[in-house]
Amino acid sequence: MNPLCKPWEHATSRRQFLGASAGAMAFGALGGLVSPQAAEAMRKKEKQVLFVWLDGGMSQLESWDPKPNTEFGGPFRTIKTTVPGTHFSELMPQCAKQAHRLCVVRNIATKDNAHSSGVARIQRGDPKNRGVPYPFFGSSIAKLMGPTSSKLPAYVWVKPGSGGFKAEDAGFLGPKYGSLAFGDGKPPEDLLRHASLTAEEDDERNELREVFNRRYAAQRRPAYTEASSYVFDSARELMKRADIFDTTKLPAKELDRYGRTELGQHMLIARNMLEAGVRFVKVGSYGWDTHGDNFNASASLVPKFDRAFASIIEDLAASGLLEHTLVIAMSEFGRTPRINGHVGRDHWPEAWSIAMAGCGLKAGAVVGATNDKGTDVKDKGHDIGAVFHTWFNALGIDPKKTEYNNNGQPLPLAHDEMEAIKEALV
Amino acid sequence: MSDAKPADKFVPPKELKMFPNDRQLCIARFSPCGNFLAAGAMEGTVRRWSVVEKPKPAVEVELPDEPKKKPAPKNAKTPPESPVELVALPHLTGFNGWVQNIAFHPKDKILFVADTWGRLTATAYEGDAPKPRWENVTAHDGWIRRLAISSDGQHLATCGRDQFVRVWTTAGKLVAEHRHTDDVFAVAFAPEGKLVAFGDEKGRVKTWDFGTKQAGREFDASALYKLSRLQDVCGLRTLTFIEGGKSLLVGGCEPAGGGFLEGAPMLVKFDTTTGKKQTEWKFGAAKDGFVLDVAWHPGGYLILVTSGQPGSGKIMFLRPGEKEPFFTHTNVANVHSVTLHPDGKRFAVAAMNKASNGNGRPKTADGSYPGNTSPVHLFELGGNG
Repeated sequence: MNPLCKPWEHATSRRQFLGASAGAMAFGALGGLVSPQAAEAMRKKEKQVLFVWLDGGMSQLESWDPKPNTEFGGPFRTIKTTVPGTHFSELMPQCAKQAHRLCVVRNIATKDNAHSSGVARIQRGDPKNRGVPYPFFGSSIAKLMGPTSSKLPAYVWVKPGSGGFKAEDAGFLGPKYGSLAFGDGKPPEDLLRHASLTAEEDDERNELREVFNRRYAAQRRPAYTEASSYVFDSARELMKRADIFDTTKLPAKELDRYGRTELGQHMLIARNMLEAGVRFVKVGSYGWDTHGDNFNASASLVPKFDRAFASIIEDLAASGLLEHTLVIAMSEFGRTPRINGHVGRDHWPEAWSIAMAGCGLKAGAVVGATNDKGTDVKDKGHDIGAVFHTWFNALGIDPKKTEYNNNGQPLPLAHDEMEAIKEALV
Repeated sequence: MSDAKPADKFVPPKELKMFPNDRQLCIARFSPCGNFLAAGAMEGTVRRWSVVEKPKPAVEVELPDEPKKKPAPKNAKTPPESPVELVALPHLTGFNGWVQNIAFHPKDKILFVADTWGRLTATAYEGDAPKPRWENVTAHDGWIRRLAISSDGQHLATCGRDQFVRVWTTAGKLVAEHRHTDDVFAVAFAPEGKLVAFGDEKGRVKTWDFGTKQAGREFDASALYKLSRLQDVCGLRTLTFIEGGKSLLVGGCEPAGGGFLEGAPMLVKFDTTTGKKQTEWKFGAAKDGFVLDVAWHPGGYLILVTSGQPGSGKIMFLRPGEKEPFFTHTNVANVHSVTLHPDGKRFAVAAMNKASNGNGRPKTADGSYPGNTSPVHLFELGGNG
């Protein structure tokens, strides 16, 4: 060892062991030695993440933490769940049936009540200001764990609207760890090899591309050229799995179960991606910022989430993937208990809920509580930094022992004054 | 008052008094006798008031040896005393969620109450502790969106999030039901016969004969619907038969998008015989929201109230044959309901306190977290009765 090595270099080594190289070492080395069935069985044990982002802010009172018949409780009833004593809003009958698999934290208390800053702040874990933009959780996992042995992209985002490569998610980690976004759940254009090209011709074209790439890279910063190559290579892997995006061949019953909605179909694609071995799948849904007519909006929106989310939980549990997959459903904040004149609820970071399931988490747990009117958390709430600690722990990464190395600057994975939510962890 | 386009002889309404309230209200209605005002609250209660006419002040006669009263300073602003007071009575309780709908029987002293948990109740409404006559706790599976009573007082109609339209006798017996395909937001009785109209979240309006159980005509009010990303945005809120049932008014909002729910208040008039659209009104900008309630004045005009983004609200006066309201009052926030006093000379609206939005100011300085409230504004129509 170099006598002048820095402490974070040790951390880097540890990180590499925990992260990208682990999958490659385990499966790359075994390559042709194991049967396809055994390889698939091993792959299924690789940890994965499903991150469902409800952009704008789902109302906790119309979902995970209802307060029926109270001043701010709204018009809806509650229903029993499969966890005795726990009730959800009547808008979530399917999730109520999966409650024994969920871990709902009802005492989230964060700091930002604006979308413009809150979305990034929450998804970056709101660490102390270190003068650099922190990565989104997906980018963190892409860096720390890398692709699974499937070699499919490490971090993908199925979202409404436009797609493309979202390098900004990666923060200081560098653009390589950004998300590969599939707009409207569609694969990249020209994903498949054109029918007029033979495989040999395609190989020749790729050899030529690599020559050009090397010339291009010689004159540019490595971080950007690496990212370009990474995206291209990931796309080539996806070329082999275009079926992931095709939900049309699924039985009608399956499509109905997830809901024939944008979110339902995107969740099905997410299921396909997890089954295919994508490490981190983010599913985005827009339109949850219900400042106006919140209750009719919730009556429309929440059941669509309910159906899609409960279905994927059920399917991941049935396939055994849930045991190794961390599932998260959340927004940038909750919504005000107070109902405004437009019968809407505004932004409320003071007391809201996050639902989780899967690896490392207690199934059927309801952690924390809000007061009778839902205006504040009881006792001590959990900020997003604590939630990040919880997620890293659930995935087997100890954020107290692992650091990022930002060009020599050691940086903690999550807010270094916060702790994991122990009640949520196994 | 503002935006006035006064019609001939129309005297702008005058606000007599604002009566504060400690909760938000969904609906307000005067009793047919005019002696009571009731309101459904965004909690499981019905708020009640006695409508008390104040005796006109006696003319003061100045006695020669009595000291003269000091005249009020010239700049003093003493609001004129309202000739009518609303005197609060104990709430009616026992309901769940919100009481979004109430309706008075046109002749008997009965108030019908529908809540968002599916309960339909008939209750007395006079005195300190009026008793329920009957109740059906499962009239609908969940939210009863609208309650209507036939003009002869024989039937009630309800519709709900459970996609059902139901007709009941006013004694509480189910007469007929119709299973629709979507959430039903509004229902209204035609003036005569056994016809009801109902409207769903997609802006489909249909008539249905509850005697024969036959579907009738369909009206296309799909302008009041939008699929915005994942959200089915329903703009439809009110159905009102006018002109003896020859026309049907569909009120609500032309939604521009979900979430914030921006959209212009809209009213569409249909010919009930042909089903054709006759007139379409849009009132204001996208921030102005919904036509939430409509009252028909026997003088031949409608009183419409609107509510949109916090702080916006209008009371509009519209003749069905005209293109624009002939008078608009804007000095109220988020008007959710309007009720015309049976004497035709007064009306009341349930509106909102100012600054009802909550971003950035979650709590008061002392750390408390008060809810918003719906003051009741009482207006006099002057010479327009």
